[in-house]
Amino acid sequence: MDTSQIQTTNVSTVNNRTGLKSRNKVFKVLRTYPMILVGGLMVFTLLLIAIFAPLIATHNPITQYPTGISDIGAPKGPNSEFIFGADSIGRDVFSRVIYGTRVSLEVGIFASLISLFIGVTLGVVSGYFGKWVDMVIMRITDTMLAFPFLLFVIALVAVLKPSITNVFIAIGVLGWAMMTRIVRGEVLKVKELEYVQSAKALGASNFVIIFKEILPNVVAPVIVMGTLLVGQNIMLEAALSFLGIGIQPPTASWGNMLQDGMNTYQIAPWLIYLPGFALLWATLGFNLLGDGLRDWLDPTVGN
Amino acid sequence: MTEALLQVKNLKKYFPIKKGILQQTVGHVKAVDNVSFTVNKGETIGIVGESGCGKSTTGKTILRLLEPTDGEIIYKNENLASLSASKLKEYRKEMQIVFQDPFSSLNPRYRIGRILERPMEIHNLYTKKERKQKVAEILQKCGMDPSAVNKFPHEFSGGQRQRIGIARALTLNPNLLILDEPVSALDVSIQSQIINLLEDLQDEMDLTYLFISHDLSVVRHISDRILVMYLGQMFEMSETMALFKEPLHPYTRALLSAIPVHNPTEKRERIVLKGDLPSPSNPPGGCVFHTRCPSAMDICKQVKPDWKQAKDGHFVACHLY
Repeated sequence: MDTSQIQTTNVSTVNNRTGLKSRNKVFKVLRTYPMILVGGLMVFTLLLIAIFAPLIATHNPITQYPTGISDIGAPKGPNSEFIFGADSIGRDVFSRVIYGTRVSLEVGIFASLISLFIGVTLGVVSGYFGKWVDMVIMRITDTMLAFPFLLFVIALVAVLKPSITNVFIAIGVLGWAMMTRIVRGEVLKVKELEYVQSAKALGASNFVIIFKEILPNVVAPVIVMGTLLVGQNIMLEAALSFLGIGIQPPTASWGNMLQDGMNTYQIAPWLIYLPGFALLWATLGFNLLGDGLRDWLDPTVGN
Repeated sequence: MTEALLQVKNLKKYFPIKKGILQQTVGHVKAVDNVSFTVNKGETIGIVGESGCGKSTTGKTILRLLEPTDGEIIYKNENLASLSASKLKEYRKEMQIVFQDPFSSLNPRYRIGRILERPMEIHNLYTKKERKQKVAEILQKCGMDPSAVNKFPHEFSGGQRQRIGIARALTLNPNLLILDEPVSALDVSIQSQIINLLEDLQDEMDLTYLFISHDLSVVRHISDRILVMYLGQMFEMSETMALFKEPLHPYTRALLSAIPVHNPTEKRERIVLKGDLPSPSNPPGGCVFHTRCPSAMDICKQVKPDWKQAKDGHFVACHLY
């Protein structure tokens, strides 16, 4: 009884100490790798916007306001009612971009998680078991990489019928190849290390070795790759929506807003400014964050 | 005589060399070729040889960290070489390995406590509380402070890490410890500490050691018997004293003459081997050493020498005897 109490108090003081230490460490990391800070803030604002979209948006994103269209039927530019102008059927551009953030992040993050799951699983299996398993998985991976990716996604979305869910499923299910390769490489490196050999000598099962010894040591590149993947997937969703096979109107997505504005951008350039800027912000944010994380977690890899 | 703990019979480990798109096997690297020896309970056997001679591979193959190509590993009347994975797990408790590099032998993600409890977790031994106690005990035995459990491996020096590595190997109370160059990566002063620790532990826990090293002075100090390997084959095996006093094989003589002498005025014949270690994928015919042997004869190029007893308890594979 007594000893256990002593032990718990010991543990808690230790935790407090490490808590303090880790907070200092966070600041130090952010100071040394400003890209993490900048990218992280950019991503964080996006998350806030997505979560609080109904509070930030000034209009309903899919309502067509008669006041948004001029007498001759042209969209109105930025004014006191529509701060970033209205689109060709009178919807508020600002509110649509705000709500589009939700779509972009949803697709970007969920697609990346799917890719991550498939990629890590296949990569670990391939790297750990080697031999013919590795051979088969790597050839499939090569095949996936050989296809023009956008074309592949378009084909799959077309089969699945376009919707937010189907878009991220399609992107996620097809986008795991790079992840698999990276994870496989890391596993190949880690599995020869002596602590893995030692676990084997102790009689640990493959399951235990993979989950307890190997996976914790391949997390870093997975986090980096995952972050970069989110940025890529946001771009990809925009591309699909731009081509008209992604998110379907009236749901707002940066891609279909750009598509809307494409025909009239010479007379109504505000239609593409804000969605274009949002897209730039999102991809830049995730890329900076990913690059920063890579510099921090894996200093051996140059750019 | 003393009781045999482990018998290795005609152990072979060949690594296939694969080439081409279809990965056809075009040859083999004979890392361990026909190695046989007996380890008696409580003794220390030193395995020496230059790098690439298969001494580490022998150790790892005995533990089945590498699957043996052929041969028998007999422990307690059971042939470990042919056991299924689940049955082998029981025997894994009884033989453990300590690795050379203390920096890669501990998983950097875990605290020492976790690392040392893991072996017991794997074998489902003891309750949580007992495990913690065991860990503290074993750390103390290995000359570490029990407070180490809350620290990560990177917080320790090489020598301390090696102690932790030894502690991990001992958590399951093994009979046989395979020490794969346990001191090669350490400073000389730390080396002696670790060697002393190993000797103390051997007495205390009744351990049997298979000590793999290329450092002859270390091996001489700790071993009861020594096995000399070259290109995956056994060249000579004998009691330590006898081997150092009167090495029979020309290769052993060359090895021994390479030990630095403490006294600079002492003159000693230095046998320098010519040429490089031949490729183990394409070893020379006959005696594999004939390309570098100072006393090679015609027969050495043709016939592989037998493993024979030249003197009492002193075995050698050489045509000179």
